[in-house]
Amino acid sequence: MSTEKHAAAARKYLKDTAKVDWQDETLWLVRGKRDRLSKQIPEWEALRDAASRIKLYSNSHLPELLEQFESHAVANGAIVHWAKDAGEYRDIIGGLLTGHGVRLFVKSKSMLSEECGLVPYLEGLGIEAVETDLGERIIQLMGLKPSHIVLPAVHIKREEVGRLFEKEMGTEPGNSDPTYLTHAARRNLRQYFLKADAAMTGGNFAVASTGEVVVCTNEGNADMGTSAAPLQIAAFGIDKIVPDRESLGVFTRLLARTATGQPVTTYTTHYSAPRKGTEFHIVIVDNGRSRILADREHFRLLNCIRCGGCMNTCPVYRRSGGYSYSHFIPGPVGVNLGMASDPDRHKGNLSACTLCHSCEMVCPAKVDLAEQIYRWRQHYHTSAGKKAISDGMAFLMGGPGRFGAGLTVGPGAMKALKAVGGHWGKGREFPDIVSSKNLESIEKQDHGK
Amino acid sequence: MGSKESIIQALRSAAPQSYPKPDLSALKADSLRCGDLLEGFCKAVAASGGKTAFLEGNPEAAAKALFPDTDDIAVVPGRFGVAENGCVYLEEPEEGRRLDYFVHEALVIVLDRKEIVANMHDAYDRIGETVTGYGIFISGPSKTADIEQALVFGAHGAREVGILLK
Repeated sequence: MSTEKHAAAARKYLKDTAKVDWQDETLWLVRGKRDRLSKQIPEWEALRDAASRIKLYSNSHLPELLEQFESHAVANGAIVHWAKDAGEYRDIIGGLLTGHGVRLFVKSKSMLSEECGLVPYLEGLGIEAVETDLGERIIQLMGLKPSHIVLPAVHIKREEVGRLFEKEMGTEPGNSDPTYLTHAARRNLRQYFLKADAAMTGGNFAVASTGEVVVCTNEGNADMGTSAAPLQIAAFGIDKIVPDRESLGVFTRLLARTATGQPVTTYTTHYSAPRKGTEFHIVIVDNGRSRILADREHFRLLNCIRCGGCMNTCPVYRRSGGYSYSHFIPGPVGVNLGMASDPDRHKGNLSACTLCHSCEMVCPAKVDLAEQIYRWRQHYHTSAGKKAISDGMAFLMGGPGRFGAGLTVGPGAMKALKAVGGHWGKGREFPDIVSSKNLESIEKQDHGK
Repeated sequence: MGSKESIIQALRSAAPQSYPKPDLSALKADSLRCGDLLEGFCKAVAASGGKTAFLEGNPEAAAKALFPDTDDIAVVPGRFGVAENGCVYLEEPEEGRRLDYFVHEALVIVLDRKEIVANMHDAYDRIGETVTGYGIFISGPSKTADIEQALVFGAHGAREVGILLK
């Protein structure tokens, strides 16, 4: 697979310049909201530091914290399952749903379900799986994938949603008012919430000391589903573990402020016991996370709380869109998660970074995102053209003789460089190099002024 | 070997460097606290799209006065409020009807005006480690900005939220 995959995809995306500008401005607006909110908290940097330290502690004590979580969850009346990989995750959930005769299944947003391909699998079992987050529902009805982990439909225009809802929900033709469309979705999805045989959420945090799963949302779709259905499932990756409720104080202050520029999400729900007369199942998933933990250069990736803040600030993501990346999670953290899961498949994303480090300044859990991309690049050259240029430069700079000779042939060499620059050279300037004789006459002219 | 055992074994053999559990007491002591908790709480509720009013007399009548345009109102007790973000903490509702918190047009929470903490650190200290089966922080009405980042109230949960301070 080409190592310039992201650049090639982005080139297509960039053709619609009006949409690119709109998308860039939208994401920058969210970043601006985050800045305003974070500056209202004098202890913001101390909070980020605490979040990072709690995650480093948790991720370096996972066996005991996970077992502690499980024993409390079982004592609360939940049923706990463990999934090594995506296949086991799908089998457990598919088995629970078919075992309970579930026909209609409502789910709230979970990047883990995207990671493990849950919805297509369930549809194969004949189960109707309905995404209930508004953005996810729009994407699902369009047959697309999320382009952002917190704002899944951030790339869709209101007119597109208007046309979609006209077809799917019978809204007025030509009406693309967001309030009107949101309330149409509210009425439409109510029937699913109240009829569903089972409801599922992901998990923002899993608390070892209490055995509870914490879900942070704005719309109330997760809460509607789990409060109505007779079967509730919550599935999360092992990196969602935090030691205790005291830690939640740190993360709930950071998450929404960084993600969407709100002081807190509308709902911060702590699920520990099943509702009376219902079942509550919890699925704990590894799917490659233990492998990341074993990687000394990249284990800090597990600090990530999936706020999406790195995407909103990234100059490359903002101007290339979620679909230019080969991994289902785009942006700085997506580049790294893709490399951690399948480097040969996702090394084409490594060029999608200017090493500006803005993501690291924004990250609430201090993941060293840009540094990690730099480290991956040391093992996976991003382009043959770039390697040739870099090797050539190393040779040229290797001694004064070579350097001098280089200057003599400079004007001609620059022309050659333009020709072989390839993808690396696209969008870069190759200034003309003047010969040393011409340089002397230019200097004389300058002194004469 | 079962899946649990193989995950635990994989995590043990990953053997990351062991990091200590951080002491959060200095952070918590230095965290933002507004001077007047009740005033800060009311401002934060308004910013989240909710309403506040002082309760005198019958809560049902006061709830109706707060939201005269609808008859579909749930009136429920809240345990305490959080000044920094306008959240109210609620536990498992009567007879486990969690749906009451979300399914009605308007949700009205009755709260003791003395029961306000400054921030989420104080909130979790207040709850402690006691497990009651279910707990939720609610901050204003249900909302979304999934269509072009335009803020809309009333996505799936209550369209309006009011806090009656007794």
